[in-house]
Amino acid sequence: MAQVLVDREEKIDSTRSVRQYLRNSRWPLVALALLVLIFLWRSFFGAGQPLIDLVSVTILTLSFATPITLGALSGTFSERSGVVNIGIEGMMLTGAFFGALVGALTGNVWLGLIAAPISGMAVALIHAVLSIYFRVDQIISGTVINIFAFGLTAYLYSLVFTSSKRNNDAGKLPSLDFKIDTINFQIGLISILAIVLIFVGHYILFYTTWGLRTRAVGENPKAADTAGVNVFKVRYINVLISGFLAGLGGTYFSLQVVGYFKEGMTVGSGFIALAAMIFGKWTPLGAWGAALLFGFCQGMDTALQSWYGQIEWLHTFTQALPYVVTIVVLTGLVGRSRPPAAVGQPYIKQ
Amino acid sequence: MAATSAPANNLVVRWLRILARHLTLPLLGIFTALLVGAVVILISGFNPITAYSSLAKGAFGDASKINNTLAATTPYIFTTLAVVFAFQAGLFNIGAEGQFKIGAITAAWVGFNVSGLPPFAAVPITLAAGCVGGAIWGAIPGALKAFSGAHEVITTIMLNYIAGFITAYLVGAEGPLRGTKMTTTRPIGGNARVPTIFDYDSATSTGSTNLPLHWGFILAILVAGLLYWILWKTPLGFEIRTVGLNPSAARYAGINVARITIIALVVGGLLAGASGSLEIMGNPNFNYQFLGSLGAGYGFNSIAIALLAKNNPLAALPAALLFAALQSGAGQMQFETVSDNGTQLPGDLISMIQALVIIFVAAEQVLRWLYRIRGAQGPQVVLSRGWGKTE
Repeated sequence: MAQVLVDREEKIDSTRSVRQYLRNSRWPLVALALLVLIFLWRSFFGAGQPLIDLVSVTILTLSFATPITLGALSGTFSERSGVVNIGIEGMMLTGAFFGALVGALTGNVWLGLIAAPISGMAVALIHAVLSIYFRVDQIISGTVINIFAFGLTAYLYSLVFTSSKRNNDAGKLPSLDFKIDTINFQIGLISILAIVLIFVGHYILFYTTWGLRTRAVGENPKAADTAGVNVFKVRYINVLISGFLAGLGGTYFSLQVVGYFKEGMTVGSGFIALAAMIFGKWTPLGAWGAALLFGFCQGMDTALQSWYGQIEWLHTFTQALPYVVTIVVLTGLVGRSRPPAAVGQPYIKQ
Repeated sequence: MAATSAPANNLVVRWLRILARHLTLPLLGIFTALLVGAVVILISGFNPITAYSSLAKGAFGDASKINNTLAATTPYIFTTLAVVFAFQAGLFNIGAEGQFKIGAITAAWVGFNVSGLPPFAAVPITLAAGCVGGAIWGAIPGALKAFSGAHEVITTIMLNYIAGFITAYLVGAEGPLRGTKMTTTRPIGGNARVPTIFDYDSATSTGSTNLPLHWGFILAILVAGLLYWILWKTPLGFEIRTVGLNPSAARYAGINVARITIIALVVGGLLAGASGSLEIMGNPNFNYQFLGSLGAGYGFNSIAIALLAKNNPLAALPAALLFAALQSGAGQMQFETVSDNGTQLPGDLISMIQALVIIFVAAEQVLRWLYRIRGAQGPQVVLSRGWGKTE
């Protein structure tokens, strides 16, 4: 028991100092080390231009990490308040769809960017009502959310676009462009926004009253209730924040990358995001580090293809890598993490 | 409800009562989902009555359609049983899709390598190979859960994607198992095929000779009965259900929880593998070869069917039939339901109706609230117990 308390103290402290942060969440460093190794190797064999390789892999990593970052932050808020959110995938898909829908119908991509998080929140509200008010098992509720979001978006997409043959072009969000030598690089708006939100999320969770209440409700709802915190309100709002962030993450797929919606376009990012959240020990900064690692795995696939052309087995391997890493993360072989104590348990007020 | 008559010593009356009690909520759930679906159809500018009647006609309109529906039901029964069996042990097996794929490709590989054998040997060997393939894919999350606590919900979903990548590679451009065309294997030999129950003529695509229902359907029904027997009439089943309801209590009672966890997911994988194998071996619609797209969506659909069946292996039969009927009727519904301005009702409507069914059936509390039904809930399996190795 005493050990548990010590661990808990340590964890809260760790978010306050850079040194301890590096000790606890060293995955960005691992990714960085791998990156340096690869580009040294490339330079050694004389095939690449070191700076351009480095920049392109960094950009790819940041881009691929974007939806995972936002998804993991989404999960962090929800689970810190004690609600398991396996519906992140569905909320992302909903956000991706409604962002593209509003963008295409109004011809204004910015309205799409506003609509996406709102639609994510609407789906999150279903999850909140099911798991907080009706006390449905949160894993079942989340799975239901995923199935529902897939059906809803597929149906509405066919209804609005396929059967009426309407143009589905939603436009794309702007990106920051820059040039090194003759090569153009782009980093999307959502990718930058995601990084900003990580720090905002970190500040909210660990430096504000709201954050303290959220963590208290996730650890010991009864004690928080006794201290005058409205457990239900805190949980509802955090699940809604979670939906907001997941919906925003969905826009990466539709509004940032391609400019339109495709059925099931989030391809499991919501689930990878959950693993990133666990890997990041339920802290925004840790989740970001883990998301960068996953992004790096995906970025390498693209980078290797552009360097060496399509090598089938290598392509399969690098494609599967993030999913394998997710499994390894969960086994706890690399760093243990402790979830909020009350996660998954419905609260019943006495 | 029970207080209306004298003590029910009549066995038939008692069985009917039990049946009614178990059926009330699922049927209400389906009814509510269809009602909400009708409102959606109406808002979308279509006629719900036309839509639902053409849906029913598309699924059960004539012998050939019924045959198609039942043929589509067969794989769902197996994958749903894969979910149900694991769920009874408190495990949420979302990995049916990956287990299906690995099982199917194993069966395809073995199926075209047993050409010298007579059918009575080739068919069981091919099927067994597919089962083993699926079982191995189920054993991975089982072992991970048992030994490290890694939550099966995430590991099975990840293994679905990994299975997708592996099979795509195997039948891809440079894949060792690809046939003449990319994304498919060679067709398996005639000796490894499961025959259809009625006449099937591949030359005609419609009509009374196109009856693709194969003997796997009968096997599926038998397996459902077998699982019911295992779960409720054997010591192993008792252990599985005990672990599902309370793993800590099970451990105190001397049950080896790790062993049960692995068994539950291995059997789950085996069933999903059987599902994939039989699609390759029996369903003429797939030309007896592995297709890259085979098995897509089975993971979540089977979860949905299992939730609808309230995790009862026997109830999985009608639940799977309902989902297969929705799917096989969707085409005709889309074709026949046309709005005033000439657009067709998207067939994707059925995935939304399926989702609504699950919302109302899985979240039983919502139905109880909606229809003011009182009464105790049955014992509930708790799935949200943290994500992985923690303390």
